Amino acid sequence: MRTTMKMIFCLFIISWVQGEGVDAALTEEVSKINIHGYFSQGFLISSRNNFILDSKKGTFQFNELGINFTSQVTDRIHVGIQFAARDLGDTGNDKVLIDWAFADYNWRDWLGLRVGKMKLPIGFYSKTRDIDMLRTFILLPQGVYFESFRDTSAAMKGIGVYGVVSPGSLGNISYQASIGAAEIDIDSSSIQFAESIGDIHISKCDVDRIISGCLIWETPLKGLRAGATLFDIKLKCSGNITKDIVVPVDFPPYSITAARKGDLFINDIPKYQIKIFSIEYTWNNLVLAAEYLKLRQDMDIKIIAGFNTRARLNTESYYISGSYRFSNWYELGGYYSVCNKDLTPSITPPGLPYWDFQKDICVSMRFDLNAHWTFKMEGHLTDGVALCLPRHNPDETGAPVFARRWAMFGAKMTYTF
Amino acid sequence: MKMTTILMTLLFILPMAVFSDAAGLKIIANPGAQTLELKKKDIRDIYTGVTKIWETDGKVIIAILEGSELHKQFLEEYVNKTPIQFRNYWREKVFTGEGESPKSFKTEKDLIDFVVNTKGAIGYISSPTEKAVTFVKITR
Repeated sequence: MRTTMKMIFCLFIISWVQGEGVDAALTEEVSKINIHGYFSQGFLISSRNNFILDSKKGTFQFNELGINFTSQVTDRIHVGIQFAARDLGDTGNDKVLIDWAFADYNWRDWLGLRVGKMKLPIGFYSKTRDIDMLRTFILLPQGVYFESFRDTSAAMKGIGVYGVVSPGSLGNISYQASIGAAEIDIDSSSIQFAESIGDIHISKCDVDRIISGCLIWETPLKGLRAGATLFDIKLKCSGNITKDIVVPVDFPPYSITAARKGDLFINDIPKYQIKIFSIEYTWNNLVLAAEYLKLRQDMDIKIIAGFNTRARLNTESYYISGSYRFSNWYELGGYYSVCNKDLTPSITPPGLPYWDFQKDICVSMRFDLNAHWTFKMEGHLTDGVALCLPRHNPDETGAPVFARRWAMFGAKMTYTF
Repeated sequence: MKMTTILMTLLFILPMAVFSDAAGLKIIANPGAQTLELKKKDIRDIYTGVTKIWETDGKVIIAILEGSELHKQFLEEYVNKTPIQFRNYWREKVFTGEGESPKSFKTEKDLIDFVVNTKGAIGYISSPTEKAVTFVKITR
């Protein structure tokens, strides 16, 4: 309700400003305030495992909304702000945040400057993952576009440069590079995922800096583009241990308690780096894409009581996807996505082998009711649970329990203006 | 022999510079844009937001006839996108703050009036007009 009220208030203010002054005073095409927005409501239900949220019972806690206001101040300066809110189980909860807000100075086609909070290009589709209308699928391939990292990797505050160069007959090469920082909400899905590495509760997380870079080559071959992305973040989290850490010694049944429940810990992450290589080919109504992700996360975990450990999380993911538009109102798509993760050394007691991979086959149908309304349905058949969080899948004692093979169905309705 | 060479040369050169494509599609621009010749790739760069500023200075403002057969034909010929792909391409720019949607018109008359009256505007039409627009020559 609070969210809706805020949105309505923003709409009212901007409409009033437009009506009273801006439009009337400035007759040039530049200088007007443009307003666009979207709203989507989804439903997810899964069998055997909860994914992202408590999905086994079926849930409508899956929505996004956003509204933006932009204005071309001069020929070369463009400013804008987008407010967005989303709900995904126990994250987001429709809290209105500034999704992006920046000033853009377009000096030349090959060099522009942005200052403020801007969306990050991580792979071909991360910048638009909130806008359901722009793709065939409800959920992007999760190995590369994992929902739990969405709020950390969506945007950053800082400064960025961008541009397009056209080296003769080689097509266009566009680039974007930025440096800055971000705030990580303690209730975010990223924190939930970080907590899943062990029995910990994170109460604070500070980002030292983020570096992001992206190159996209529109090749001379019609419809073919290729890209590479780098995302590098340095951060430090702290919190408490939620369960005694008991370490076995060489002569069982003896063991020592290395840390006790409630002990403070610091998780220093000097490197959290994502590299993605992307390729996409469009031929008339057919779109084929493939992306490969490599993620490396180094962690120095220090427990104040004296127990220290160093761990590295390596994740390797890829997918291939295809979609075909049969008519103005119907599109069919699918993908096969694979994610493999490896935490060395394991901080928690080792799980079953299928806890470290996730293979997903997805088939999606999209119906465009008109230019503004879209309805989608999607089915997933999944093997492995690497991206399912233990906190969503506990047994009676609180220990994680997963089924290897599971399925999921989703539906989503979106309105865009 | 000399005449044959001239004829051959003309035959070779003439198709390289045309005012529109064979189907009668014409690219028009506001006279202030002062751009008389563009390559197909230039048109694509303009309509995909790669080129945002005219060489002679001033912002490029794109006009389209969304929903028309001419729009579909134009996109196929110059932009290599279907109308839906084109719409989503610009929506992506709108919702990431990286651009503004092209100005959309229902009739050619409205589009022509807009191009005539808007500095930096560019559009396309199917039939000749006597309005004060610049017809853009497409070179290959």
